[in-house]
Amino acid sequence: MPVDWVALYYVLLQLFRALVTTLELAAIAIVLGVAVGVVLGVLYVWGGWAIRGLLFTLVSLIRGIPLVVQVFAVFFVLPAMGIKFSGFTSAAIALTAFASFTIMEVVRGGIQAVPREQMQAALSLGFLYVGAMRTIILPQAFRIALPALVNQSVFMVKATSVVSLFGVAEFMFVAKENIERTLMGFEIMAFVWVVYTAICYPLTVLGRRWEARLQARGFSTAAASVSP
Amino acid sequence: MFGGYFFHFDPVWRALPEIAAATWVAVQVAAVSMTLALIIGVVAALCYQSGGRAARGCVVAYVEAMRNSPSLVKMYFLYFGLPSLGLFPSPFWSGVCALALHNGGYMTEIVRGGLAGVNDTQVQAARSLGMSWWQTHQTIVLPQALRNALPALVNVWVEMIKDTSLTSALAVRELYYEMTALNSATLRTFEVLIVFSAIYLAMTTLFSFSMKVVEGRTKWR
Repeated sequence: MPVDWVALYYVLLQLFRALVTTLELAAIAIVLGVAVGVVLGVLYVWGGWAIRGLLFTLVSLIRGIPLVVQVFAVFFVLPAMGIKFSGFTSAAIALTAFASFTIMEVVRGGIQAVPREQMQAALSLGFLYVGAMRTIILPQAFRIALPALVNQSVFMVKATSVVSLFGVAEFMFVAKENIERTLMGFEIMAFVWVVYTAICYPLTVLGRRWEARLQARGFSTAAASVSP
Repeated sequence: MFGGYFFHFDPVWRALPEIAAATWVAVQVAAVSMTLALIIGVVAALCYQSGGRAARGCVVAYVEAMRNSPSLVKMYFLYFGLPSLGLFPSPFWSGVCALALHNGGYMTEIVRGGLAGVNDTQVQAARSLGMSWWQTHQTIVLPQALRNALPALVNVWVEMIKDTSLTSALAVRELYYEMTALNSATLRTFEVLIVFSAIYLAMTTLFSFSMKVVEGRTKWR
């Protein structure tokens, strides 16, 4: 089969630009998701029945409804309430919300895997709750939750592909567009497959290595790992 | 926020036959792909456990190829890529096979873990009693392995129920496809969103609840 080098050049150029968008979306979702997720996780552990009930309801909704439907909600409900964002911003909001609540579960698992006595000891030594949480509990919880956080990051990179259904010009959308233009479905999808794997595989290996290290120290990762 | 907005569910209720049909399609996609994924997982895990180095290498390559890319990649690959090779799978089967292959990778890892949890002395005992390899695995090893793996398998299955919505990217007329169609036909965004979210939530909740019952019934006694 003769290769059309000009077509290939333009396809690759477009795909590269789109890949940058995908990585931006994933980075925003992961960084903001961790920040919000940690706050929500601490709130969940600290809060009374009202806060817990609210957070539990929200996380049940987010985990029981497909991500596509959640992205749809952000894309169509916010404009109906008079708030208008660009496609990229809406996608970032939806992915961040999803990441925040799934990471909340991971952080909660990490905090609850730290023995209760540590908090009791810290409080009896005169620490404030916030101080004890920040300097004693969270560093340990973070170490326990790290492999699960890495796995969640891999999941978020893959999840960005969902927003292609809403016309955001990220990797998957541009790939599909170029298939329609060039009819090189096999070549382009094989390339896309390889690129996603090249991004996610190193992270997967990293997560597995940290998980093994954690298990070697005698922690069970089961407490922190919430399957995405 | 909702000032001046009045809920009108009538347009949604009028589309009830279409919604029911779409739900049925989603259930079919889910049921077929979940079954296929389990079969792939069990076969691949057995290959990994009992096979030689080449078989192990193949299984590891398969698992990594599946879980490091989105399931949409496999869907488009089957639907847009295979025609280059002269194969023209329908949207339904492209979607079902992509979901099965993608999640089969996760299932392989889970079943492999379950198999590793069954003590090897049981296999030795069964073989010394004259049972064949398949008899040993069918009657002794697999039931225990799957029982150990069930909670993790259920997690992946619930994920698969939700991922049926992605097959709408190939224009399979399942729930999410119907949801977008109904939204553009009636513009009752809130009502459509509430009803379809409730259907998805009911499907995932019902499934995980009934699997909890199964888990309780099959618990080792």
